[in-house]
Amino acid sequence: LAERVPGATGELVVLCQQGEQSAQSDFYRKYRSEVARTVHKVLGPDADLEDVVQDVFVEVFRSIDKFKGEAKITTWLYRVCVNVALQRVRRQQRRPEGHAVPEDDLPHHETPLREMERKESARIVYAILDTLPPKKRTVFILHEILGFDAKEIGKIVGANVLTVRTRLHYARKDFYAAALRTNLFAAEAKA
Amino acid sequence: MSAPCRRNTSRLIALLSGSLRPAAAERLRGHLERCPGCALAFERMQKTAALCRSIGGEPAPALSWRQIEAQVNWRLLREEEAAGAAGRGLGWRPLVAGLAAALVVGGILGLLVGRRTAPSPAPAQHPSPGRSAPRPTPGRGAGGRGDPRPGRVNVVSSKGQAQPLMFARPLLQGERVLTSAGRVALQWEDGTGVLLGQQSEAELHRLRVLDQEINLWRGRVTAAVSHRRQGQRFSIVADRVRVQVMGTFFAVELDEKHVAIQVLEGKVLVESLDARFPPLEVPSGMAVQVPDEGRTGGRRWPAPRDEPTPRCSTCWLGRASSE
Repeated sequence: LAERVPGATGELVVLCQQGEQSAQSDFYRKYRSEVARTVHKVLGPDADLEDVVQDVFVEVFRSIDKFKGEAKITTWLYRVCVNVALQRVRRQQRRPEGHAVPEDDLPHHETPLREMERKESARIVYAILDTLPPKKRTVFILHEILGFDAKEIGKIVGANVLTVRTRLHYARKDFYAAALRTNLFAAEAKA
Repeated sequence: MSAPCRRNTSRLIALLSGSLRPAAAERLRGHLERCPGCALAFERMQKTAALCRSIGGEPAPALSWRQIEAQVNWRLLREEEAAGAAGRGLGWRPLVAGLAAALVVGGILGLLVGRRTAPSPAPAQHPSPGRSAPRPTPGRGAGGRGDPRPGRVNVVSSKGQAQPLMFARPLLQGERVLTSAGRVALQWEDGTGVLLGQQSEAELHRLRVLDQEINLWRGRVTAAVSHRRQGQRFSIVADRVRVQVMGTFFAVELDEKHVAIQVLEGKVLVESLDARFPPLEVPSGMAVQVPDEGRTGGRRWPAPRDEPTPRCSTCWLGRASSE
């Protein structure tokens, strides 16, 4: 592994795999912000972020032995984030509250504060994303929100590039169709 | 809003993502100039895409990193214990475990007092814990002794290993803290503080997000509990009597004859774990004494207001160290 992942990162991972206490603590400190950011983007503003970040690191330290250095450590970490977040999305979607987004029934608050509007719009974006199947939602977020290309997404979700592109195509189609049905930016357009 | 032409929705998305062939893109742009429905739809798509990108650029909100780390440690430790994994070291987990990384913030000053007096207490004789868990035993770790040395505050792990308690050392669930002539203040990240008196012994029985429980084996604890979330519990058990926080500031004292509870702010619920008496709410300014063999909740009387305020940890520790 040290050969495949050269430098300080490789050493850190090897020490984590050996159960070195300070290394695991360093690993947590090094990657916690990126993990939180990824989980936050995948799940949206209403997620119980602390719980999910906790789940991600529990999973990371449970399975870091399995990391063989075939991918970058960050790619592996994104994969864990996405898998944990997907489990959470699936659990939520099984709940009876449902996530249908009735047309014009999304929260909409006109406010002079642009920040508030932007947050509200972000909330609507995630409400639409909640209507997508988890796999489509994931590739959409990884591409459109987090800016990964199809090849990187393929590594993160464990699918080939063609599959990613297909999922992304249908995800975009569903997402933008739903976005046009909602009042996202409707007030601006009227103005 | 006039709707976009039905056949163009997919093309607009392709145009947006740049996957349309140049000639087709040019034709579609020409169409957008003539068709207000498609133009508006495309404009909204562009804004939505820009919004998505801006969401991606935002940092994640600030989190309680230490608390998350402590929880991760705790869960892994529990899993490891459950699996009986003996081969692998505990790694970083013991360093930062416990619900909110219960931090020892005081009490070391109390050691100075302890050095002047030097009674070495006998190993703790515990009252019946009233539960199936093993009773705490004196330590047997390498070089460790279960009874604290004069003036020293010791911590005994769930496996019976004793060591001197260091300043700011995080504590684990299941550990016992023993004082002799000194006192020690334990501080939780959420602001909750517990002062363990002289000649006292307390076990951090449960340190979970929703349930924190201290078992007092002897001596006295004073707790100043920060605001609890709904469903969150903080309690102290002494001789089968559970004192559950409904307020903020109270003290529990256990001696050979009784458990005494003083409520200085808020209120607590006192209940018998062996149904000796019905649950009893003790309001602010009141105290209750539960006799060892009593069949009732004991009598209530006005509690003396002689405790230092827990609002300011400096004052609190100052008072502790000056005694």
